[in-house]
Amino acid sequence: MAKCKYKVGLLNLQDCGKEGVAVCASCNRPVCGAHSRIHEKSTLCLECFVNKVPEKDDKSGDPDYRAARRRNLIYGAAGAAAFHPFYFGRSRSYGYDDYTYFDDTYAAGNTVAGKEEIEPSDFQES
Amino acid sequence: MNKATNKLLDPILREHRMSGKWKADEVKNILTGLETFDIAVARKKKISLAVCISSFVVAIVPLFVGFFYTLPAALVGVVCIFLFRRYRSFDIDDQVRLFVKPMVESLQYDVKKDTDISMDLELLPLDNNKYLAEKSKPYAAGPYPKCCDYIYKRDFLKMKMSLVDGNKLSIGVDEFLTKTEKTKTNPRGKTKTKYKYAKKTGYSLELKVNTARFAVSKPDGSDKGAGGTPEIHIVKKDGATVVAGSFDVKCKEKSAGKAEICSDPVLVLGNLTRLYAALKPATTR
Repeated sequence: MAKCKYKVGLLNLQDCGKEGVAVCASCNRPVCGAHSRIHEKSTLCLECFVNKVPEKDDKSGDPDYRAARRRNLIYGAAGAAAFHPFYFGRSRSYGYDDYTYFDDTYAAGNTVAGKEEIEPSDFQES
Repeated sequence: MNKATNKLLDPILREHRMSGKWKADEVKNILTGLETFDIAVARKKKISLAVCISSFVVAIVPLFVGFFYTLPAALVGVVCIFLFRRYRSFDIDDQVRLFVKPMVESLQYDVKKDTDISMDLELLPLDNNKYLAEKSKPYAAGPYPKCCDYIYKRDFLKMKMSLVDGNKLSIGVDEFLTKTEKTKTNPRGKTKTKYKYAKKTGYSLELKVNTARFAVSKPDGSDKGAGGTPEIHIVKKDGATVVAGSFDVKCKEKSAGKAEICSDPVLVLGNLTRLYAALKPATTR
Protein backbone atom coordinates (compact mmCIF):
# COMPACT_ATOMS: atom_id res chain seq x y z
CA MET A 1 0.00 0.00 0.00
CA ALA A 2 1.26 3.52 -0.82
CA LYS A 3 2.10 6.06 1.88
CA CYS A 4 -0.63 8.27 3.35
CA LYS A 5 -1.19 11.32 1.14
CA TYR A 6 -3.18 13.30 3.66
CA LYS A 7 -1.67 16.77 4.04
CA VAL A 8 -0.86 17.75 7.61
CA GLY A 9 -0.09 21.27 8.84
CA LEU A 10 -1.69 24.66 8.49
CA LEU A 11 0.80 27.17 7.08
CA ASN A 12 3.07 24.57 5.52
CA LEU A 13 1.55 21.39 4.23
CA GLN A 14 3.40 18.09 4.31
CA ASP A 15 2.42 14.54 3.44
CA CYS A 16 1.53 12.47 6.49
CA GLY A 17 3.85 9.76 5.15
CA LYS A 18 2.60 6.92 7.36
CA GLU A 19 1.74 3.55 5.88
CA GLY A 20 -1.60 3.76 4.06
CA VAL A 21 -4.33 1.34 5.06
CA ALA A 22 -7.16 2.35 2.71
CA VAL A 23 -8.01 4.49 -0.29
CA CYS A 24 -10.47 7.38 0.06
CA ALA A 25 -13.68 6.55 -1.81
CA SER A 26 -14.15 10.21 -2.70
CA CYS A 27 -10.73 11.64 -3.67
CA ASN A 28 -8.96 8.36 -4.31
CA ARG A 29 -5.84 9.06 -2.25
CA PRO A 30 -4.24 6.48 0.04
CA VAL A 31 -4.72 7.29 3.73
CA CYS A 32 -3.46 5.88 7.02
CA GLY A 33 -5.66 4.75 9.90
CA ALA A 34 -5.44 8.08 11.73
CA HIS A 35 -6.61 10.06 8.70
CA SER A 36 -9.43 7.79 7.52
CA ARG A 37 -13.01 7.60 8.73
CA ILE A 38 -15.87 5.28 7.87
CA HIS A 39 -18.92 7.03 6.45
CA GLU A 40 -21.93 5.13 5.10
CA LYS A 41 -19.92 1.91 4.75
CA SER A 42 -17.18 3.56 2.69
CA THR A 43 -13.76 4.81 3.76
CA LEU A 44 -13.11 8.52 3.39
CA CYS A 45 -10.06 10.63 4.10
CA LEU A 46 -10.50 13.07 6.97
CA GLU A 47 -10.92 16.06 4.67
CA CYS A 48 -13.66 14.43 2.56
CA PHE A 49 -15.30 13.20 5.77
CA VAL A 50 -15.38 16.75 7.18
CA ASN A 51 -16.89 18.04 3.92
CA LYS A 52 -19.54 15.31 3.88
CA VAL A 53 -20.38 15.38 7.56
CA PRO A 54 -20.41 19.08 8.45
CA GLU A 55 -23.21 18.71 10.97
CA LYS A 56 -21.16 16.54 13.26
CA ASP A 57 -21.00 18.18 16.64
CA ASP A 58 -17.60 19.30 17.91
CA LYS A 59 -18.42 17.63 21.21
CA SER A 60 -17.75 14.28 19.55
CA GLY A 61 -14.29 14.46 21.08
CA ASP A 62 -12.44 13.55 17.91
CA PRO A 63 -9.49 15.99 17.94
CA ASP A 64 -8.44 15.15 14.36
CA TYR A 65 -11.93 15.88 13.08
CA ARG A 66 -11.99 19.19 14.96
CA ALA A 67 -8.51 20.14 13.65
CA ALA A 68 -9.51 19.33 10.05
CA ARG A 69 -12.75 21.27 10.43
CA ARG A 70 -10.89 24.23 11.93
CA ARG A 71 -8.43 24.19 9.02
CA ASN A 72 -11.31 24.23 6.54
CA LEU A 73 -12.82 27.21 8.37
CA ILE A 74 -9.49 29.06 8.37
CA TYR A 75 -8.84 28.45 4.68
CA GLY A 76 -12.41 29.40 3.81
CA ALA A 77 -12.47 32.55 5.96
CA ALA A 78 -12.92 35.89 4.26
CA GLY A 79 -9.56 37.51 3.57
CA ALA A 80 -7.70 34.23 3.52
CA ALA A 81 -8.22 34.06 -0.26
CA ALA A 82 -4.77 35.57 -0.83
CA PHE A 83 -3.20 32.82 1.27
CA HIS A 84 -1.98 29.60 -0.27
CA PRO A 85 -0.24 27.19 2.10
CA PHE A 86 3.26 26.22 1.09
CA TYR A 87 3.69 22.57 0.27
CA PHE A 88 6.89 21.07 1.64
CA GLY A 89 6.07 17.50 0.77
CA ARG A 90 8.47 15.51 -1.29
CA SER A 91 7.59 15.07 -4.90
CA ARG A 92 8.47 11.74 -6.42
CA SER A 93 9.21 13.39 -9.73
CA TYR A 94 11.24 16.42 -8.73
CA GLY A 95 12.76 17.46 -5.46
CA TYR A 96 14.28 20.75 -4.39
CA ASP A 97 17.77 19.63 -5.44
CA ASP A 98 16.80 17.61 -8.48
CA TYR A 99 18.39 19.82 -11.11
CA THR A 100 20.56 16.82 -12.01
CA TYR A 101 17.34 15.20 -13.13
CA PHE A 102 17.68 17.06 -16.40
CA ASP A 103 21.24 15.87 -17.06
CA ASP A 104 21.99 13.66 -20.04
CA THR A 105 22.01 10.57 -17.86
CA TYR A 106 18.33 11.13 -17.25
CA ALA A 107 17.32 11.70 -20.88
CA ALA A 108 13.68 11.29 -21.85
CA GLY A 109 12.55 7.70 -21.92
CA ASN A 110 15.24 6.44 -19.55
CA THR A 111 13.96 5.10 -16.30
CA VAL A 112 15.57 6.47 -13.19
CA ALA A 113 16.88 3.84 -10.82
CA GLY A 114 15.21 3.95 -7.44
CA LYS A 115 12.27 6.11 -8.62
CA GLU A 116 8.84 4.58 -8.45
CA GLU A 117 6.07 4.96 -10.97
CA ILE A 118 4.02 8.12 -10.65
CA GLU A 119 0.60 7.35 -9.23
CA PRO A 120 -2.63 9.28 -9.84
CA SER A 121 -2.77 10.04 -6.12
CA ASP A 122 0.44 12.08 -6.45
CA PHE A 123 -1.62 14.76 -8.16
CA GLN A 124 -4.38 14.92 -5.59
CA GLU A 125 -4.84 18.38 -4.19
CA SER A 126 -5.35 18.73 -0.48
CA MET B 1 -1.51 10.84 31.06
CA ASN B 2 1.95 9.40 31.69
CA LYS B 3 4.31 9.95 34.61
CA ALA B 4 6.55 12.39 32.69
CA THR B 5 3.58 14.65 31.89
CA ASN B 6 2.48 14.49 35.51
CA LYS B 7 5.95 15.64 36.54
CA LEU B 8 5.65 18.60 34.17
CA LEU B 9 2.13 19.40 35.35
CA ASP B 10 2.83 19.60 39.09
CA PRO B 11 4.83 22.89 39.14
CA ILE B 12 2.48 24.43 36.56
CA LEU B 13 -0.59 23.71 38.67
CA ARG B 14 1.17 24.89 41.82
CA GLU B 15 2.12 28.26 40.29
CA HIS B 16 -1.09 28.59 38.22
CA ARG B 17 1.19 29.55 35.38
CA MET B 18 2.79 27.74 32.47
CA SER B 19 6.11 29.35 31.80
CA GLY B 20 9.12 27.83 30.08
CA LYS B 21 10.34 26.08 26.97
CA TRP B 22 9.11 22.71 25.83
CA LYS B 23 9.00 20.57 22.69
CA ALA B 24 5.76 20.75 20.68
CA ASP B 25 4.69 17.25 21.81
CA GLU B 26 5.31 18.16 25.46
CA VAL B 27 3.27 21.35 25.13
CA LYS B 28 0.44 19.34 23.60
CA ASN B 29 0.65 16.74 26.39
CA ILE B 30 0.70 19.43 29.10
CA LEU B 31 -2.33 21.18 27.61
CA THR B 32 -4.16 17.85 27.31
CA GLY B 33 -3.25 17.14 30.96
CA LEU B 34 -4.56 20.56 32.00
CA GLU B 35 -7.77 19.94 30.05
CA THR B 36 -8.29 16.55 31.73
CA PHE B 37 -7.55 18.10 35.12
CA ASP B 38 -9.93 21.02 34.50
CA ILE B 39 -12.77 18.74 33.40
CA ALA B 40 -12.22 16.45 36.40
CA VAL B 41 -12.17 19.41 38.81
CA ALA B 42 -15.33 20.89 37.24
CA ARG B 43 -17.09 17.52 37.67
CA LYS B 44 -15.97 17.18 41.29
CA LYS B 45 -17.02 20.78 41.95
CA LYS B 46 -20.47 20.07 40.56
CA ILE B 47 -20.82 16.84 42.57
CA SER B 48 -19.67 18.46 45.83
CA LEU B 49 -22.12 21.34 45.34
CA ALA B 50 -24.99 18.94 44.58
CA VAL B 51 -24.17 16.75 47.61
CA CYS B 52 -23.86 19.85 49.79
CA ILE B 53 -27.24 21.26 48.76
CA SER B 54 -29.07 17.92 49.01
CA SER B 55 -27.54 17.04 52.40
CA PHE B 56 -28.55 20.44 53.80
CA VAL B 57 -32.07 20.04 52.45
CA VAL B 58 -32.28 16.54 53.96
CA ALA B 59 -30.53 17.33 57.26
CA ILE B 60 -30.84 20.94 58.36
CA VAL B 61 -34.64 21.24 58.52
CA PRO B 62 -35.15 17.98 60.54
CA LEU B 63 -32.16 19.00 62.71
CA PHE B 64 -33.95 22.17 63.79
CA VAL B 65 -37.07 20.18 64.57
CA GLY B 66 -34.98 17.94 66.81
CA PHE B 67 -34.19 14.90 64.67
CA PHE B 68 -30.52 14.64 65.62
CA TYR B 69 -30.01 11.44 63.67
CA THR B 70 -29.66 13.66 60.56
CA LEU B 71 -26.52 15.24 62.04
CA PRO B 72 -24.10 13.09 59.95
CA ALA B 73 -25.81 14.32 56.76
CA ALA B 74 -25.36 17.92 57.91
CA LEU B 75 -21.67 17.22 58.57
CA VAL B 76 -21.34 15.79 55.05
CA GLY B 77 -22.84 19.04 53.78
CA VAL B 78 -20.29 21.12 55.71
CA VAL B 79 -17.40 18.99 54.40
CA CYS B 80 -18.75 19.40 50.87
CA ILE B 81 -18.74 23.20 51.26
CA PHE B 82 -15.00 23.07 52.02
CA LEU B 83 -14.44 20.63 49.16
CA PHE B 84 -16.32 22.93 46.79
CA ARG B 85 -14.21 25.92 47.86
CA ARG B 86 -11.04 23.86 47.44
CA TYR B 87 -12.00 22.69 43.94
CA ARG B 88 -12.93 26.22 42.98
CA SER B 89 -9.38 27.34 43.79
CA PHE B 90 -8.08 24.75 41.27
CA ASP B 91 -10.22 26.20 38.50
CA ILE B 92 -8.36 26.75 35.22
CA ASP B 93 -9.33 29.42 32.71
CA ASP B 94 -11.54 27.86 30.02
CA GLN B 95 -9.49 29.62 27.37
CA VAL B 96 -6.66 27.15 28.02
CA ARG B 97 -8.70 24.28 26.56
CA LEU B 98 -10.93 26.27 24.17
CA PHE B 99 -8.35 28.64 22.70
CA VAL B 100 -4.72 27.73 23.45
CA LYS B 101 -4.99 23.95 23.01
CA PRO B 102 -6.78 24.06 19.62
CA MET B 103 -4.26 26.65 18.42
CA VAL B 104 -1.27 24.51 19.43
CA GLU B 105 -2.94 21.44 17.87
CA SER B 106 -3.41 23.30 14.59
CA LEU B 107 0.20 24.52 14.52
CA GLN B 108 1.85 21.31 15.76
CA TYR B 109 2.95 20.15 12.29
CA ASP B 110 4.21 23.64 11.39
CA VAL B 111 6.63 23.73 14.31
CA LYS B 112 10.19 22.79 13.40
CA LYS B 113 11.08 19.37 14.75
CA ASP B 114 13.29 19.21 17.85
CA THR B 115 12.91 22.91 18.59
CA ASP B 116 11.33 24.33 21.71
CA ILE B 117 8.17 26.36 22.01
CA SER B 118 8.61 29.22 24.45
CA MET B 119 5.41 29.77 26.37
CA ASP B 120 4.08 32.08 29.09
CA LEU B 121 0.49 31.24 29.89
CA GLU B 122 -1.70 32.34 32.79
CA LEU B 123 -3.98 29.58 34.06
CA LEU B 124 -6.25 31.42 36.50
CA PRO B 125 -9.54 32.92 35.27
CA LEU B 126 -9.26 36.59 34.36
CA ASP B 127 -11.58 37.79 37.14
CA ASN B 128 -9.22 36.43 39.79
CA ASN B 129 -8.01 38.93 42.39
CA LYS B 130 -4.43 38.34 41.24
CA TYR B 131 -5.13 40.36 38.11
CA LEU B 132 -7.17 43.12 39.77
CA ALA B 133 -5.57 46.37 38.65
CA GLU B 134 -8.10 48.92 39.85
CA LYS B 135 -11.29 49.17 41.86
CA SER B 136 -13.49 52.22 41.46
CA LYS B 137 -15.17 54.09 44.29
CA PRO B 138 -18.85 53.07 44.83
CA TYR B 139 -21.27 55.14 42.78
CA ALA B 140 -25.02 55.21 42.06
CA ALA B 141 -26.50 54.52 38.63
CA GLY B 142 -30.27 54.60 37.97
CA PRO B 143 -32.16 52.16 40.21
CA TYR B 144 -28.89 50.76 41.55
CA PRO B 145 -27.69 52.75 44.59
CA LYS B 146 -24.44 50.85 44.88
CA CYS B 147 -22.28 50.18 41.84
CA CYS B 148 -18.61 49.35 41.60
CA ASP B 149 -16.21 48.76 38.70
CA TYR B 150 -13.38 46.25 38.90
CA ILE B 151 -10.67 46.43 36.28
CA TYR B 152 -8.55 43.37 35.58
CA LYS B 153 -5.47 43.36 33.35
CA ARG B 154 -3.01 40.68 32.34
CA ASP B 155 -0.77 39.33 29.60
CA PHE B 156 -2.58 36.06 29.03
CA LEU B 157 -0.30 34.40 26.51
CA LYS B 158 3.12 34.85 24.97
CA MET B 159 4.22 32.11 22.63
CA LYS B 160 7.29 31.89 20.41
CA MET B 161 8.18 29.08 18.03
CA SER B 162 10.38 28.24 15.06
CA LEU B 163 8.50 26.95 12.04
CA VAL B 164 9.49 24.28 9.51
CA ASP B 165 9.95 26.91 6.80
CA GLY B 166 12.58 28.75 8.87
CA ASN B 167 10.27 31.59 9.96
CA LYS B 168 9.89 32.47 13.63
CA LEU B 169 6.39 33.07 14.92
CA SER B 170 5.44 35.05 18.00
CA ILE B 171 1.87 35.28 19.31
CA GLY B 172 0.84 37.58 22.14
CA VAL B 173 -2.53 37.98 23.82
CA ASP B 174 -3.30 40.59 26.47
CA GLU B 175 -6.64 41.00 28.18
CA PHE B 176 -8.48 43.85 29.83
CA LEU B 177 -11.72 43.15 31.69
CA THR B 178 -14.12 45.58 33.33
CA LYS B 179 -16.53 43.93 35.75
CA THR B 180 -19.40 46.13 36.87
CA GLU B 181 -21.20 45.09 40.01
CA LYS B 182 -24.63 46.67 40.55
CA THR B 183 -26.57 46.10 43.73
CA LYS B 184 -30.12 47.15 44.58
CA THR B 185 -32.74 46.26 47.18
CA ASN B 186 -36.21 45.48 45.86
CA PRO B 187 -39.44 46.60 47.65
CA ARG B 188 -39.62 43.26 49.49
CA GLY B 189 -36.23 43.96 51.03
CA LYS B 190 -34.33 41.42 48.96
CA THR B 191 -30.85 42.46 47.81
CA LYS B 192 -30.06 41.73 44.19
CA THR B 193 -26.68 41.98 42.52
CA LYS B 194 -26.05 42.08 38.80
CA TYR B 195 -22.74 41.73 37.01
CA LYS B 196 -21.75 43.03 33.61
CA TYR B 197 -18.54 42.13 31.87
CA ALA B 198 -16.81 44.10 29.11
CA LYS B 199 -13.67 42.52 27.76
CA LYS B 200 -11.07 43.80 25.35
CA THR B 201 -8.54 41.33 24.03
CA GLY B 202 -5.49 42.51 22.15
CA TYR B 203 -3.72 40.07 19.84
CA SER B 204 -0.30 40.62 18.34
CA LEU B 205 1.17 38.37 15.68
CA GLU B 206 4.75 38.67 14.56
CA LEU B 207 6.53 36.67 11.90
CA LYS B 208 10.31 36.91 11.58
CA VAL B 209 10.80 35.94 7.96
CA ASN B 210 13.42 33.55 6.64
CA THR B 211 14.53 35.76 3.74
CA ALA B 212 16.55 32.94 2.15
CA ARG B 213 13.26 31.26 1.36
CA PHE B 214 10.70 34.05 1.23
CA ALA B 215 10.32 37.47 -0.29
CA VAL B 216 7.92 39.84 1.43
CA SER B 217 5.37 42.13 -0.17
CA LYS B 218 2.26 43.67 1.36
CA PRO B 219 -0.75 41.65 0.15
CA ASP B 220 -3.25 43.43 -2.11
CA GLY B 221 -6.46 44.63 -0.53
CA SER B 222 -5.31 43.99 3.03
CA ASP B 223 -7.79 45.36 5.55
CA LYS B 224 -6.88 48.33 7.69
CA GLY B 225 -7.17 46.73 11.09
CA ALA B 226 -10.97 46.82 11.11
CA GLY B 227 -13.41 44.16 12.37
CA GLY B 228 -10.91 41.90 14.10
CA THR B 229 -8.52 41.82 11.17
CA PRO B 230 -4.93 43.01 11.50
CA GLU B 231 -3.29 45.85 9.66
CA ILE B 232 -0.13 44.30 8.29
CA HIS B 233 3.19 46.06 8.78
CA ILE B 234 6.47 44.99 7.26
CA VAL B 235 9.35 46.28 9.37
CA LYS B 236 13.07 45.69 9.84
CA LYS B 237 13.94 44.60 13.36
CA ASP B 238 17.56 43.85 14.36
CA GLY B 239 18.40 43.33 10.70
CA ALA B 240 15.61 40.81 10.18
CA THR B 241 12.43 41.28 8.17
CA VAL B 242 9.36 41.09 10.36
CA VAL B 243 5.75 40.88 9.23
CA ALA B 244 3.58 42.07 12.10
CA GLY B 245 -0.11 42.50 12.67
CA SER B 246 -2.15 43.39 15.72
CA PHE B 247 -5.87 43.64 16.30
CA ASP B 248 -8.37 44.01 19.13
CA VAL B 249 -11.61 42.17 19.86
CA LYS B 250 -14.18 43.72 22.18
CA CYS B 251 -17.13 41.87 23.66
CA LYS B 252 -19.72 42.31 26.38
CA GLU B 253 -21.59 39.77 28.44
CA LYS B 254 -24.37 39.97 30.98
CA SER B 255 -23.84 37.17 33.40
CA ALA B 256 -24.32 36.46 37.06
CA GLY B 257 -21.39 34.09 37.01
CA LYS B 258 -17.89 34.28 35.68
CA ALA B 259 -16.79 35.99 32.51
CA GLU B 260 -16.72 33.14 30.05
CA ILE B 261 -15.73 35.18 27.06
CA CYS B 262 -13.29 33.06 25.12
CA SER B 263 -10.91 33.96 22.35
CA ASP B 264 -11.50 32.26 19.03
CA PRO B 265 -8.59 30.15 17.71
CA VAL B 266 -10.01 30.29 14.17
CA LEU B 267 -9.91 34.10 14.23
CA VAL B 268 -6.27 34.19 15.35
CA LEU B 269 -5.10 31.46 12.97
CA GLY B 270 -7.13 33.03 10.14
CA ASN B 271 -5.30 36.31 10.75
CA LEU B 272 -2.01 34.43 10.82
CA THR B 273 -2.75 33.21 7.28
CA ARG B 274 -3.23 36.90 6.33
CA LEU B 275 0.34 37.51 7.52
CA TYR B 276 1.49 34.53 5.49
CA ALA B 277 -0.24 35.97 2.42
CA ALA B 278 2.50 38.64 2.47
CA LEU B 279 5.13 35.96 1.78
CA LYS B 280 6.12 34.80 -1.66
CA PRO B 281 8.74 32.17 -2.43
CA ALA B 282 12.12 33.84 -2.96
CA THR B 283 13.74 33.21 -6.33
CA THR B 284 16.46 30.65 -5.89
CA ARG B 285 19.10 29.38 -8.28
